[in-house]
Amino acid sequence: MMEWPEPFDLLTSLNPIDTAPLAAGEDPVADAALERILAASDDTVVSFNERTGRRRRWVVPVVVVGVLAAGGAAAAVIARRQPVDPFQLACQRTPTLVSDTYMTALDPSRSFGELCAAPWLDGTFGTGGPPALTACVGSEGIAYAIPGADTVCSTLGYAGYDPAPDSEAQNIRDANVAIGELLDADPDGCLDMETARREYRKILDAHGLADWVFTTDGYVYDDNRPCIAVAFIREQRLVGLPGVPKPG
Amino acid sequence: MTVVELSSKPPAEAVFAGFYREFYRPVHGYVRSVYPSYDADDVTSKVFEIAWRRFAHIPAASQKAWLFGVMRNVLRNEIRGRQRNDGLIDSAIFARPTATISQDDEAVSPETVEELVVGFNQLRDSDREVLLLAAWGGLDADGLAVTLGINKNAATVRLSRARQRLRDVMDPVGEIEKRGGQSHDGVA
Repeated sequence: MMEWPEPFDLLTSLNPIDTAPLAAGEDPVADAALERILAASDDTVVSFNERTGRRRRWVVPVVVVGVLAAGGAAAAVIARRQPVDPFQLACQRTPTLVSDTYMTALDPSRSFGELCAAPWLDGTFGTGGPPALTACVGSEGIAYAIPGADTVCSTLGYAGYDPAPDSEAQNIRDANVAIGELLDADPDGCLDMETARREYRKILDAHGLADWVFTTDGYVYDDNRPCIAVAFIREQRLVGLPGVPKPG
Repeated sequence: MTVVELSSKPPAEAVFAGFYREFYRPVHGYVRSVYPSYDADDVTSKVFEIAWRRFAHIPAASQKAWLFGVMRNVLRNEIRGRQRNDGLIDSAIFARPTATISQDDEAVSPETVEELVVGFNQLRDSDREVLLLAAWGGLDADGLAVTLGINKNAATVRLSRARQRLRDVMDPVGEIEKRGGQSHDGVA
């Protein structure tokens, strides 16, 4: 039985984090990182998303030429498709192919403005809230929310976002939540391979994904990674079973 | 003759170094404790790389909360990077931030800590996140609002509900309140 009057206070009392300021020379790893950061120019300090953008930059001229040539048709008919990836939404800062991008969870029950609000409020993109956003789908099957009007999707070479219900995507999301709850309920938060196969199978079957097949190809499962997570590979209707370290 | 320019304003690098040393441990310690499957050195370095590039735009009144917001984004990008490298969607890993709870306080029994861990792990990810940001990140309602990208009222409500749910899972029959335990849901 509890001896502590308030669980949140108990949680606070168990805070393991030392918040004292760091003195110069106290932590060589931290000092080296600071030196690297300060020494880096704008070209070398790049975020993950900017690296992605640089790779895409080569595509820009081709896309622009294509859109200019087909401009009339693009304005009249916007090709629409549904995202293949049921989990992710990429919120772009600018209507370009080299934009900073903030990744968040795709949730069809909420508007893209809501889903992408955080970076437009916390200073990552801005602080005044999101501008008008248009939903697109990239060639890799990920949904994007991009500042601008309807035509921004075709201008960038993306398809428009098809808002029609995607029941399989919802089944995948629901199965993923069920697996998360299963792991949450496990005392160790860790299922071995045999248990994971058995329990995940039940969940997949219950969520209309009975024809999906497990794969362990390319994954590590050993003493250092003894817990089985899950990875949905929609195009091939496969469920990957990667080994991950024990929680905590 | 040598002309030396004097300025009362310290160089930006020196100011940033002070900022870095002040907030390095809160960010690094939080990543290491709450997201142990990620490389805390690497994530912290990425957070401060972004902070250096946007140093002039960091709100002075909520620097730590702003850093924690960036930290959340960096962790999301780390997830995405893993997915891209594997060509896969490791959503279950993404969905389950974990907390390492250790006991240093001898006044609390191991059984009580165990009860807390069990109860805490029954909560939803969003509840665990807001509880840890407040309890271990030291964020108040204003800070939570900045970090989570919501307004202060929503942050207050989210924390209050998470605290209530933690209370509910640990003490379903209300023993805590019967014994005079206080509830301090209001955050500054």
